[in-house]
Amino acid sequence: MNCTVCEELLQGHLDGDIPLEHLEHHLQNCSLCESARPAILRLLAGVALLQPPSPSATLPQRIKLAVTREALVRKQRRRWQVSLRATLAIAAALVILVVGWLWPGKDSQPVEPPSGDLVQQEPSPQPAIVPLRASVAEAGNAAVSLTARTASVLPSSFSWPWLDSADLPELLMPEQDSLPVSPMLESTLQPLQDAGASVQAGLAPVTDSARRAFSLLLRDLPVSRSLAAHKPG
Amino acid sequence: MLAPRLGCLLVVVLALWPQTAFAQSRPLDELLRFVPEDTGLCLLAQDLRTYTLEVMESPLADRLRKSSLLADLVSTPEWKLWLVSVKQVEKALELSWREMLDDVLGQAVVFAFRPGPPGKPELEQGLLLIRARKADTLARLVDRINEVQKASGELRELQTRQYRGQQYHCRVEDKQTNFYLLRGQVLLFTAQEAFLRAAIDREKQSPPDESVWSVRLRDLGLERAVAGLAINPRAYDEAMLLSGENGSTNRLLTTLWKDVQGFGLGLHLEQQSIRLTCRVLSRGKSSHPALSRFLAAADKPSTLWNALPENTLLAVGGRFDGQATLDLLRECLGKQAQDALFADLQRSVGAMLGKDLLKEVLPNLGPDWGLILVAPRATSKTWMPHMRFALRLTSPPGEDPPLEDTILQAIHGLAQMAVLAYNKKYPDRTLRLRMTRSNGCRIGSLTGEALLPGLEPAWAIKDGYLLLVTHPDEITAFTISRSQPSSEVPLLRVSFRNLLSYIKEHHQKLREALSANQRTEGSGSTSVLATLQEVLELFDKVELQHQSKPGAVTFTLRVDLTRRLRK
Repeated sequence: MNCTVCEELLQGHLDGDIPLEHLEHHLQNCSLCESARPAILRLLAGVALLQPPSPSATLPQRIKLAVTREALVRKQRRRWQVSLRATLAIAAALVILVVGWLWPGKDSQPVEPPSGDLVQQEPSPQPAIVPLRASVAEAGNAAVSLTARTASVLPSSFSWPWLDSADLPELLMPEQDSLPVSPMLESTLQPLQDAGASVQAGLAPVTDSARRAFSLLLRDLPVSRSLAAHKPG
Repeated sequence: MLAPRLGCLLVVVLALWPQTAFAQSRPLDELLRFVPEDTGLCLLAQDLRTYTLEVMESPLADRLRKSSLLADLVSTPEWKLWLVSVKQVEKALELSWREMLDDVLGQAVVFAFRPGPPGKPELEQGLLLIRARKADTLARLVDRINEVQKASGELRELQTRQYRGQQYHCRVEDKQTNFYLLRGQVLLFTAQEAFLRAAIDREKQSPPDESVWSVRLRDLGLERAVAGLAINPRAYDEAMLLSGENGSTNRLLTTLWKDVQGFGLGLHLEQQSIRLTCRVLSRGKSSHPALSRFLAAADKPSTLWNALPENTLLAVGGRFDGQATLDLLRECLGKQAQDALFADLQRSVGAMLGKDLLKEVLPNLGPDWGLILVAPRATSKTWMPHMRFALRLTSPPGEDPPLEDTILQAIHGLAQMAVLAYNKKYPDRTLRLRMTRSNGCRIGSLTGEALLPGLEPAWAIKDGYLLLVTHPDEITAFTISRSQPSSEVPLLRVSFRNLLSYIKEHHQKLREALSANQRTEGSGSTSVLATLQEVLELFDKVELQHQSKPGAVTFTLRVDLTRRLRK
């Protein structure tokens, strides 16, 4: 359809300015719009079934809820991004720690202690008996610092700024609130989201167990308890 | 004369074969003989020494050594601090990291975990098992840890205890007591004495050939995994039963849980790929009718995999049974939620289509669907990749109007609303609705100066598929061909090779798009793309596959590399 008169009449009717008869009259007399007649009438029938958007007593609460949910979604998105980066960083750091330590030629070079704030005390002179937990804790903290360093490199390297929807110009679609489908989708998706959350909660005995197993493994090792308790500054 | 002698020799060899095989049982199996049957979860790592050596000498490691990313990281203070602190630990233990990996941890390590009863998680138990390559190095390490911790006051007392003729040690520390058993190349360590004793019991009861957990790991496909996680569902039955009392979704989960016989995650390093597998074992065919139908539909590859364009960057696709999906959804949601959801859908989508959504529409969607992202041609003026979504529609014979027409008209109506609303709001940059025809196929699309160059959202029904695309050319290019029977069903594929070609071919346009985004300066965008290319060069593609056979469903995520991972 490419009839501007019809588009104006349709918009006017949807806005409540033009009676349906005017549009009907146009559809009967315009050969261009005749082919689109069933679709337009179905569209109008669908729109008519939608409840009128009268403000209810719970509107303020719903707005507050929507704002909170939006904040939660953004927070979850950030958390997901952070989790992804953290996972990548941990994986990278693990590979580096194992493979890097076995780097050919490493042993031929003397290891100089780093300068700066990272080292708070000189590693030498060593005491006659080295406190094992302190040494392991220090190595663990160094691994954590290295992981954080890897993570700090990743965001600038792997983010695709133009894919961030917040930065896309408003050109793909009108703002969501212009379309009646937006609230429909929201109310439709809610039960599905609830079901997803319910599945997650249902599997919690198993997923929690895996998490607890990792914690227990770290906690029980004789040389690593201090690692769990000791947090890097 | 020779034949009888050869026959005798063969008989002797065959008679000795099982014993020989047992004498050379794998280190991992040796540890699994200690793991009690009712253990809930096992973490494992094996052959770390072999894999590390092979990876170190591989072409991939060689490439990584020359990588600027790694070189930058190795020059950081954090890296130097790590080296210094590891040196300190090596000195304290009188054992180098290399020896630790080669002689102590390099063969097999298992962590067995027993969850606490529901509501009493603090009663959980854990047991660490190590099978070292060199018994003397392992004994030296254990003695050294005890010695160092005694000297520093961390270890107050070391006692020797006996159980069923087996000697083990109790370490009394300030706040905790832990126990270990050292027997040749095997070390067992736990903070719960009962678990150690259960492990001793288990080892004495284990059959000489294969233990319960060895069989479990083999069924889960983890016997050759470099690292893995295996779950025994029976250890969680009680907790899942309690969880099932909260809502209909959990009731469905509890029902399905009874059929699950095992769950395993495994990491496998192959010659030129890394495989991550996830396998669920069940009691043969599922006793749940809707789930059986859902799995049966998902068990074949979508026809859309047979006609992927060469320059596909990303593809996702599969098959589903609309009615089975609907039935599963009904069970998940419960009566009240499903009534509300379906009434809502009928009022909105159903009304627009003029059909009963539950009876006439949803069951007739599918089974094939797919989404692909295709790189633009090198000669294209735009950098924007094209997207194509396809969904098979199965209209019942004699339906009037056919489902295809109904859906097409509804999309057309939505597009009209979008154009009207947009043009009213932005009169200076309008959208237009366009209808064209290509090879007998009616194509609807949106055009206008409001859209990015190269973007023209379009829709059509072609060969029984609903197509939603970002450019009408994608509809013209769409073809289907019959799928070939295959035991492996692809679900997702990302081609890093094509992505790299795309970045190289559209480098200038991408750089400009990045800079125009005002987040990245000109040199910054070049750096981002250079880093990305350096990373992408290492990978060929990533593929997620689904494979099912009676009693086992396996999902495999395979990362193919451009160089060999093992020498």
